[in-house]
Amino acid sequence: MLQTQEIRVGYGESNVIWDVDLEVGDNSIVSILGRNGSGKTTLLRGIIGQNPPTKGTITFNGETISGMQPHEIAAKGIGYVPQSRDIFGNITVENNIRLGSASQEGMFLKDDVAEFIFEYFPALEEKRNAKGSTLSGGQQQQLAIARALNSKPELLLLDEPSEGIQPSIVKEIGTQLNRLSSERDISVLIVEQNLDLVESVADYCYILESGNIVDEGDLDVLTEGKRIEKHLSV
Amino acid sequence: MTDATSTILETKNLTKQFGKLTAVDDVDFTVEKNETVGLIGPNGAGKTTFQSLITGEYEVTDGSIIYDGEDITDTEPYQRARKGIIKKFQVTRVYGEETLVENLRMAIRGRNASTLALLRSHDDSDIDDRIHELLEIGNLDHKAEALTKNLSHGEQQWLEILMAVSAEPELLLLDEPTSGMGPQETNETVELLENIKERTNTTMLVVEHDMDFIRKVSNKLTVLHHGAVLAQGTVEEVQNDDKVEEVYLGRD
Repeated sequence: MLQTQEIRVGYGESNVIWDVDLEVGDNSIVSILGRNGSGKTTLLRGIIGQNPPTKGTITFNGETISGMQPHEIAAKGIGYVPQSRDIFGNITVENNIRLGSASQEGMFLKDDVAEFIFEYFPALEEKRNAKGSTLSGGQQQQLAIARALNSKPELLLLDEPSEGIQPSIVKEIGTQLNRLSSERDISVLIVEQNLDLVESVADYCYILESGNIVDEGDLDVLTEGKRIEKHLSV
Repeated sequence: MTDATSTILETKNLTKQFGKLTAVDDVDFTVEKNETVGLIGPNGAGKTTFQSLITGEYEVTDGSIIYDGEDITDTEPYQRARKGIIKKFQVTRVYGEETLVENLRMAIRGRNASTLALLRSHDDSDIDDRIHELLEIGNLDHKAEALTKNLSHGEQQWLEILMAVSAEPELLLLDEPTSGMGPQETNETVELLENIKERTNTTMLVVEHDMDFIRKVSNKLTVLHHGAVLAQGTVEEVQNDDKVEEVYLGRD
């Protein structure tokens, strides 16, 4: 579904991601692991076109998307959930979700909310008419995912969804990601440091260090022997 | 009055598994009230995971955690914070555009009040006294009105430790408090921890990989290696332990 070939991504003169190859297959959940500062967020920003790669190509469903504008990439079916969540506090939960599908022409929130979202995040249905600012951190994370889902993506990119969230909610998010993948054919590329969450969802993992992929495999393979300890804080 | 021999934290057979990696392996560990315990070990020893189990950021695979006589193994992080387990993270999180005084005021009010009370203006004289006391403990009184973004890296770390202390922790967890510091700042951090001990009697669990620093601040040391306890005891006992020397000199 998604493939990056030798992509470099950076900020101006400073390059962060070095010739990275990775692949996300249909209906799969793939994780990128790495310490703070290893380049995980930059890699995602490269994929969604916020920091277009300076070298290499990215293909999505066989089509080259590197070089496209972020909104064009989103329209191809890639949803992005930033680490900062970026929930709008002064509008309702429902309107936050609507924003996920508002196209450039349709900035008037006329788009519908995809009702299936509430099957996965019932807490949001209860708070449907509440303002975004009244949600807990865990609920805001679920809302950020819900908003991305409203654009009906084929691939969801998540940047450290577990950060600052209590384990019971992290577990809940993991359960819903697995359901979204199996029931709605959504693939997921998830950047994480929380190995519990990765273990519960990921079919395959890449380890990023200083902008390079230094190891890859399924988590059982990576955790065998002392392989993973070299690259992650455990 | 202090009771030097009562246990505040105890882990029994504490174990955490990720896939096939046992990051924390059957660890029995205790912290007595008013002690400073150092937890050390090379990278990959399980120090980070161990702390995350204590704060509740990770659920345990096996074993239990007893805090103040109560089993807290299955409680959420916020419940543990309310019981007095406060962690100062490795990465600093201070408000750069505010002064030290205002950073501390937010920390104190955030601990004591609801959001509403936080916004309401009221008599702050108690809080002012407390801020002054904290700045004194940290030797930062002369910088009270400086903008936090203008502090050195070390000073920002100290401010954040003081912000954690302002929450009146019973057990203060410090994750690599000298991270990114030079020798001078590291020595001053030793002083800061001594001041905190003297003025507030806070029990501390300090996680570090710098052996030199940790032996200066701790009453007791635990060495983790590949997730398991390699050695435990007084600083002297641990320093003279052959196994520890092997791990630290890389003759593993």
